[in-house]
Amino acid sequence: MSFGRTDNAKGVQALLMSFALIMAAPFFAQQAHAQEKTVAQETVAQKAAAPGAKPAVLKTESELEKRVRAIGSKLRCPVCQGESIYDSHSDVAEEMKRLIAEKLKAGESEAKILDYFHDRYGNYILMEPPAEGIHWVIWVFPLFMGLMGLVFVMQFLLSNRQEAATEAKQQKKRAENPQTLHQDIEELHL
Amino acid sequence: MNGSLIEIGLGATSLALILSFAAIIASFLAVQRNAPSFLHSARHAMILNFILITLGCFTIVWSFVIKDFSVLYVAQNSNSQLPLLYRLTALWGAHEGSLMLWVWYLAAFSALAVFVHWKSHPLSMPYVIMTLAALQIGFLIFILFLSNPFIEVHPAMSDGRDLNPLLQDPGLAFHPPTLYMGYVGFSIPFAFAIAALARGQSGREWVVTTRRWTLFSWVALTSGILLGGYWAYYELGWGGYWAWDPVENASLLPWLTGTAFLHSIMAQDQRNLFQTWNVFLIITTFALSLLGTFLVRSGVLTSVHSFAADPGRGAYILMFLIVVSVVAYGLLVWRGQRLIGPHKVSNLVSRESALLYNNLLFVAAAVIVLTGTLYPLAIEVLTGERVSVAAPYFNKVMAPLMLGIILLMGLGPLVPWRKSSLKKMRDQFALPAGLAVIAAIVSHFLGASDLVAALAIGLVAFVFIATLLDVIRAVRARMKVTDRSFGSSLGTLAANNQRRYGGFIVHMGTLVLIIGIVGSAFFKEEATVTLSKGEQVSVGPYTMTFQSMIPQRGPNYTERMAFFEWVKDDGTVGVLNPSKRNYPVTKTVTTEAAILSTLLGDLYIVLGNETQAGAVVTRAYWNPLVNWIWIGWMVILAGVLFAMTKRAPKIVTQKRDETDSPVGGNAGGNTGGNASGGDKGEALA
Amino acid sequence: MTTETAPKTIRWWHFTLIFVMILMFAMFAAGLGRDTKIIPSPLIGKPAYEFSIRKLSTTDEKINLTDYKGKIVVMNFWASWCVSCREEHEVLLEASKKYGADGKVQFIGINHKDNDRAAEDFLKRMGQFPYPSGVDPQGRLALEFGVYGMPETFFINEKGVIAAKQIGPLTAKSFEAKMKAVEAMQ
Repeated sequence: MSFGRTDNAKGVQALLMSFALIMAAPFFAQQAHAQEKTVAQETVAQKAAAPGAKPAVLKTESELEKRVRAIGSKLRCPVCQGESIYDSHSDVAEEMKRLIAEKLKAGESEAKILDYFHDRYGNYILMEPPAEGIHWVIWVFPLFMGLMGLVFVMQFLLSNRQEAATEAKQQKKRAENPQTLHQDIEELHL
Repeated sequence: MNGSLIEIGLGATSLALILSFAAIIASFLAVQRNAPSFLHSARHAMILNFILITLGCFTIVWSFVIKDFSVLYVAQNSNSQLPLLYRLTALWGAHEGSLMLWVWYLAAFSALAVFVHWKSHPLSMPYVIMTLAALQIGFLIFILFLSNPFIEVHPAMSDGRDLNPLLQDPGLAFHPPTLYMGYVGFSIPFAFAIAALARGQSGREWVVTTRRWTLFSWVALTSGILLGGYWAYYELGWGGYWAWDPVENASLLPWLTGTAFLHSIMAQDQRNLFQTWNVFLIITTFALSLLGTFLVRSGVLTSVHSFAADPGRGAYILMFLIVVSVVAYGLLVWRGQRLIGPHKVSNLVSRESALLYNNLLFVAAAVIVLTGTLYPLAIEVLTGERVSVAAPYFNKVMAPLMLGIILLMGLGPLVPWRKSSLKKMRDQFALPAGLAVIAAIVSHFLGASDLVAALAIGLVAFVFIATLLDVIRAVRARMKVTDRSFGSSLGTLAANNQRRYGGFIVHMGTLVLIIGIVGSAFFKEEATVTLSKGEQVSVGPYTMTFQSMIPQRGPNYTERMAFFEWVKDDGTVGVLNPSKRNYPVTKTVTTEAAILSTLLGDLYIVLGNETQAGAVVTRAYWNPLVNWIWIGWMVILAGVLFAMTKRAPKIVTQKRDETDSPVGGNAGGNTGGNASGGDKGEALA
Repeated sequence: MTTETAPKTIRWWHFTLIFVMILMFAMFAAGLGRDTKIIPSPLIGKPAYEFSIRKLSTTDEKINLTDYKGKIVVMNFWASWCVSCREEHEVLLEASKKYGADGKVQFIGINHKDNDRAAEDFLKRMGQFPYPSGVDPQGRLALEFGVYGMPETFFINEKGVIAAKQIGPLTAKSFEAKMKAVEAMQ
């Protein structure tokens, strides 16, 4: 039996290790990246410092670009019709992104920019319908569906449960009193 | 000479249509007059149909191979410069040919089903043949009269118009055939379900018979969807793999109900439960496959996937869909009651009820995806307004359902049939639940700031630990009895419970896949910068330097290819070459992403516009763990293969087939005895 | 027992199933014929943006929308690279001859994301418009009017309110219909 136990311990070990791996995996990526980025920058710096090498300029994404992404991801490209304008490479989408950037530079708020496009292209330009007017339907529907389904399944299970309980009671009665068996059969014939 | 070849194809396909009618009449007479000889004729017709349609497909493929531009379909979808691989796959490059592929699968599966189940199901066979032949008729009429790939043009075009460049990719070479395999595969369980309804035959027979067909179709559909995602990831160049586009949703719908079906037939197999519900699910799954075709081909919905839309064709598919739905659901409404057996689910916590919850979640997911997909159409028809329902909506509403499905994946398979006790539940799930909570909290503080991400990680940990503990427990119990080693005990246990352990493998694969989705969805990084030569951008653990831009020529395109030198933090270096291609024949420009794929994540670079000064807009993505999605898929494939190698139990003998009473369900009694423990549940036959 | 309770629940979902099916199929049938490329503009009934842009083939001459107040303005977005614009070119020439003569209707072209050279070549080849065109090199004016494809044409009434919009190439018939819509607005 000791043999078995060792193997079992091995199994638990394997379990814990796999568990750790699974848990760690998503941030592994993040952590590794956060630490190593400084290393990369050093490498870059070394390379830049090497004699004869042109100094490399590390460009980081501007705050502006981040805000353009935030807005552009909420707007749907009107010609590609499935993608957001941020993801799309089409001419109209590119021009819209440039316009968003200009408007942001001019100090306009995100809401105001979204309104600008909404006024000109209608609800179609938004990636999801606004929760107003008739469009409440699409937002409430999933919740409604879920509740309906739950109620239906619960009702199904509970009604069966009652039936099962009465059946069990009858069976018990039958077992106690063989005469009722006869009665049951008569009932069935009716 | 070549002209006559394509005419042979047309003739063969037309003959197949006539034979399909013959098969229906013959099987009808076989039932009517109780004459098996008619059924033999029907069988011959089905098998001959497969040969004829194969011939039809071959003539098209051959015309592509020899670049016969007198065939309109060939001229429209290929070009003398197009490489051979894409000339072969161009068969399903457009509408007409992809329908041809569809009907070929249907003919192949029909012939195989008739051949394999001939001896064991003589009484269901006429109905099965009738259903399958009717489906073939539906598609063959469509092909011959509304989307004919055999049309010739005289004089022949000097050169073709070329295949859509987006489709010139190895990923796409395999995506539609796999997806269609899944769609069409469900027609066999569908046909058997119709036969069960027509005969009013309850019990587990049709479910057991078609179990492998179901598994096969399910895994093909899964693979098709994932291949589509893989293709989108490589080819569409926006850094993602799933956009909740109407066409993608159309393929997800039958998958959702098919997955529900795959689970709920276990209850019918083991406990003779949910008979009517299962018929409903398979009809719905198949109807949704047809609906997908309708949505994609009719152009009622707009989508990134630009298929040539034709309202005439749309009207035909709609009619076909209505006929199939009315007949199938009509039969269900009319005769479904006969299928209901005496057994009931009465415990809130049992395998049966877990399957019920599973079905609730999957069907709810299907209904929500369907509603979201059709909502813009409904609003336009009602009010004339155009709205969009895109990715942000679906991500929001599907996240809770996905979490519920993961949770059930851990609970369901471990809860015993009939009834579980609170104590047993505590023994099984206290440790995993505790660890899962810790996992969720720890991950939250380590960087999973999004609640959904933290919950998903916790739940994945829960399922993994609970399942592993259960397996270890079972192996330990076996070791006590046999005194063999851990590995050998696990081996015999798995070999004796192939379906259960195959299911476990599929679930583990799904976990890996979910890790990939969570990683790439919640921990993604991206940067968009304009780079001049020598400038750098950093994303994830990588720093890239833009080196140069070089013009190049491909077989049927010209491109501008960029050289990026990347340095990883650990010192490794390399080069990536994203490019922009220009296909002169179709006048389209495509962006070719460059991807450095590792287990930890992908570095993904796409080019934007070039400025006059020689700088280029560069979008770089760091997609953590995205490869786990494809790895998970491989594990799922392995699991399904493992489960499928188990033979269908030989319970369904000819005699049983004949004597099975309308209310029936004696099979449930057989299995009830050994369905007590979680591990022994599938130890049937 | 089973057979007694079953019909009740079954009838309930029968109706749901049939209802949902009819609803869905009716919706598909209604949705079949329509053109998914057309997105109705929310700008109709709203005052047109009063732009001032450079005139085509000039260095600093301007076209101002306000100059044409009191006239019906037909504003056509076009480009030399746009294939459908060739289709509607003849229609525009005819219509501007017919409606522009009495001075009540003013036509304006907006040359979209083009360069003067290509635009001039295009007009030389296809026939000169008997009315001025302004240039919108970046397509900003197009965004202002909610334009998403070429060509599009706006019909603005005497008060400067957008009365109708044509998406895609004009035909003689669609032109008449839009003009009627402008008149109906008064």
